[in-house]
Amino acid sequence: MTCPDFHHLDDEALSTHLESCPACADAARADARVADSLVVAASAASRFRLARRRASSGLLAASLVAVALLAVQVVRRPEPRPVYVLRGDETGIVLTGPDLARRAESFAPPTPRKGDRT
Amino acid sequence: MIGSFLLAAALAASPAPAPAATQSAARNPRLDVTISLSLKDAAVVDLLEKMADLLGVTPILDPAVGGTVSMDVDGVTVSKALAQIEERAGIEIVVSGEVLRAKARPDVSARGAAPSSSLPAAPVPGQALRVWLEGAEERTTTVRVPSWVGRLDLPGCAGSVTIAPLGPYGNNPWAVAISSRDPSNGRPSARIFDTSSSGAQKALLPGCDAKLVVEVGDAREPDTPLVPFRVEKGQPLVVSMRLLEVTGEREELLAEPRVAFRSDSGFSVRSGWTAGAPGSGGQEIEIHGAPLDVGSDESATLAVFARITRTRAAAEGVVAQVARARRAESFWLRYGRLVRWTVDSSWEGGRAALVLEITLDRGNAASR
Repeated sequence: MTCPDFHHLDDEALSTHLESCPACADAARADARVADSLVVAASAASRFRLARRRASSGLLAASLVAVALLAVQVVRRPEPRPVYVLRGDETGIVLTGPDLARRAESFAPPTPRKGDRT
Repeated sequence: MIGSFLLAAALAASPAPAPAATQSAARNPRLDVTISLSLKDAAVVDLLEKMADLLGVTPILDPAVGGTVSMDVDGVTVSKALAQIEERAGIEIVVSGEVLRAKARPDVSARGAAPSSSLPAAPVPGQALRVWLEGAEERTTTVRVPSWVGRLDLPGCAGSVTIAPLGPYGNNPWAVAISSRDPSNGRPSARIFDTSSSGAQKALLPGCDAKLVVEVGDAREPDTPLVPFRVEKGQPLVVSMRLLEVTGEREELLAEPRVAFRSDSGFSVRSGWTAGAPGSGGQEIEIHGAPLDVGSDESATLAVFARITRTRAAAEGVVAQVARARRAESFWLRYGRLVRWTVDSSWEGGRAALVLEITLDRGNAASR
């Protein structure tokens, strides 16, 4: 016996047929079990996609906020401190820095010469 | 999104701003400025004077502060650098208000008082420079020291150098200033050679061979000296100076000369007074300067030599020199910007400091 196409039967005819045909009743029960699993799986997949989308949106928002905060921090960062350099030896000392350069000579005491006052 | 993560990570990885320095009302804010020191047998007095320049204060040093120091530190605050100088030089440094004071620690042997001013530092011959490269077989080059600001090529130097005498006109110079430009950044740098100290010195000029040696002295007979050519188109300049005697409490104006000159020559200032009859004491102030490198960017390199002598009558009419300052310094400065130069940080036994304020300006600008 071949089962009729259930989609073309109205509910009353389908019920009558399934009560009189155990084979069709078994096939209908098997189809129903498969359909329930698909519905459950589709629902789970939908929930997973929703959760993933929310997580991604949250992370993107957090990183954008972090970028904005750090950018503000960089903009407001004070100018680098000026660095001065002192180099020197027995002949003198040189001081250089932003807009500054000068050298002091370290003179030895003058050598007494003939004719100098004492 | 990955890009934003990377950007955030890069920003986070960049160095965080340094914490604001703790400053009290009395604390000099420049104590927290970063400094690097590279010193080998440098005079402690000169070092402290430069630290005071950096801090914008006047150094007043006990005459017992002296000696030399060698140290290499990189990227420390000025306050830490001062602490290291204290440790290595055996001195105590106090920065308070507008003054940096230093004295020798009691447990450290003092250098003794500064050489008494018994030497008059009379002008000595300094008409020629002898220049040679250490270790080279080439003969010495003799250069006649001009009475103006001149330029010439020296052996071992990439570009021409500027040379100028420092001293009263018509006499042998007291010092000779030479400047050259650093080929890497174009910034001029100068040396001043004392004509009263005998012996050769390394020139240590930027753009010149490190083995270049300079000796100041008289021209010798067999020498045929090079004569520098005078720099062209001397520009009118005006230098305004104020010589101050500074203590912790007050500043006393000793002299206030203002000189108009041209950039192809130097300037010379001499003033003084005598109290009563000769031998009763007095004061002599001599300041000699020369512009070495007049730039087109409103800046110039100026070499200055100063000598201040204060005499006081001693018993029986004998004159005793009680204080004498004799210093030279070269400055890279901008027109119209005042610089303070400590001519003597232990004036009259460490009672005060002699400070010369210098402002260089263009002649036409200053005459407005």
